[in-house]
Amino acid sequence: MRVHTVKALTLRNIRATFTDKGRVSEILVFPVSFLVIWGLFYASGIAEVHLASQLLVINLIWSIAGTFQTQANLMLMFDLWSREFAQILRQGVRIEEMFVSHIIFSTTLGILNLLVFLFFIVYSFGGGMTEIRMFTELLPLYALSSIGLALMFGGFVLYLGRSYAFISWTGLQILIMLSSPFSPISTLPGWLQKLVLVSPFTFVFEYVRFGRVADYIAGLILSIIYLFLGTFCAYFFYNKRRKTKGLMEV
Amino acid sequence: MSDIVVRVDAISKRFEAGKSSVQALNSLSFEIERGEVFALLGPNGSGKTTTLNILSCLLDPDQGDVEVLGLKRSDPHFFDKISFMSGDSEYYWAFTVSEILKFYANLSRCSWRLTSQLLGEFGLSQLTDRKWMMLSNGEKTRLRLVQALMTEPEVLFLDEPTVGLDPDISDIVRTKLKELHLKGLTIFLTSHYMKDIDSLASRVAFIKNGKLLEIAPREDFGDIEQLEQKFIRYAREEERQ
Repeated sequence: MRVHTVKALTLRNIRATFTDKGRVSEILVFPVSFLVIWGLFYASGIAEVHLASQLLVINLIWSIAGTFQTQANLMLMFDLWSREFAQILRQGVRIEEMFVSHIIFSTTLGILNLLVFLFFIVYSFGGGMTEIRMFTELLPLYALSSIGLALMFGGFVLYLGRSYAFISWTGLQILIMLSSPFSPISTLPGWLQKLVLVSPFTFVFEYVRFGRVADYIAGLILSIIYLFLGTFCAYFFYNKRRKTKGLMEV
Repeated sequence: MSDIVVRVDAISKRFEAGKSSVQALNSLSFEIERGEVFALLGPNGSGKTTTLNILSCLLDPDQGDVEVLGLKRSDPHFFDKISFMSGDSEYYWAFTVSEILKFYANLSRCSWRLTSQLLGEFGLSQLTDRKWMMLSNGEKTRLRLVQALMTEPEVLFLDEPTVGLDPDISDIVRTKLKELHLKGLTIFLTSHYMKDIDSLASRVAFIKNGKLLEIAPREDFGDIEQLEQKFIRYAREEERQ
């Protein structure tokens, strides 16, 4: 992996994103709307503060995990739609360098997103150390699994083609809905209780709900498994595409 | 003693799409010597671009292998001294000429001074703030060439470099390529334009259905009309088969 290549690709991602008003709006729309919705909900006093706080955290994690994952794939899509992907590869850029630059970019955006949220939580919504500790402790879980998913969905899109870009958002939403975000796992039917444990976000939402997770290490291991699985998928599908149809017109 | 810089060794490639399949390359072999302008000619679908895609590692062959400057495609330094320019390659539409070239200069760690010089030579110095999507076809081709040449390659691979260009711009491109050839650059060229082949090539190879039909020095094919007649004959033979 060459540092100068990753740096050049990352700088290009930044430039491409922040010179495009549409992309900037896309990045801001979810965090801002979540803050506004939660702020109104909180201010109206129509629900218990505890419930409102829980909903906020779930939405924020959804948003941050989405930033970690979908931004990486959006940068890949940006190369595919502009048809510059092949031209970049013709310079000898390796796929891992491309993915790492996308992940650096999306992770940085995700962390900035998180810091903005924490600022609002602390200074506008009366949050404190509890929320900061929660987000910090959960960060490795949703960051690692989101990066794993970014690689996995990126691999699928590379193999199937750019018209399958919807996979990155849809896949994330399916996994989040599969994580029982709005009700405790114990309230689900038995077969579903086992199924939700496959989702890396189940542990995150359990933490939010109870202020702790029964088995943090298990959550961490699952996130690491997703990271390895994602890396395998990215390489496997990239090489499969290169062997069969080629990478000229993905 | 000959100095082989490109070696294509019995490469085959079959594309499968559902129940149908196409044999794009069929044990194709040739070599290119240093300082040559080697032209690969053939009708549409004959395997020219597939050959270039294999050389640029965008596609893996089913069989056979290629070597450029003695390096296999898996070598980490494979791309160090070569450049590819395709007549239909694209850049991000909203980037300016300068942003595009700075990105590729950063990727290849090449000197901006040479890039500025090339911009001047190709008449693009006044267009550095113009976005890719606002460039004409001729300007886009010149920019692709600047990007390919800014790394000072030893071997330049060109896929249809004058496609869609008016005769004036095509002539400018050919003149520039001739100058580079005289300075010792090895060029691998695919084109449908006989004028490109006539004015640039030192050796010509005809392929169809991924097979090599004939390979000889340019002068052996006679003048431009004879070269074109040969092309048409091969293409029509293919239709009849």
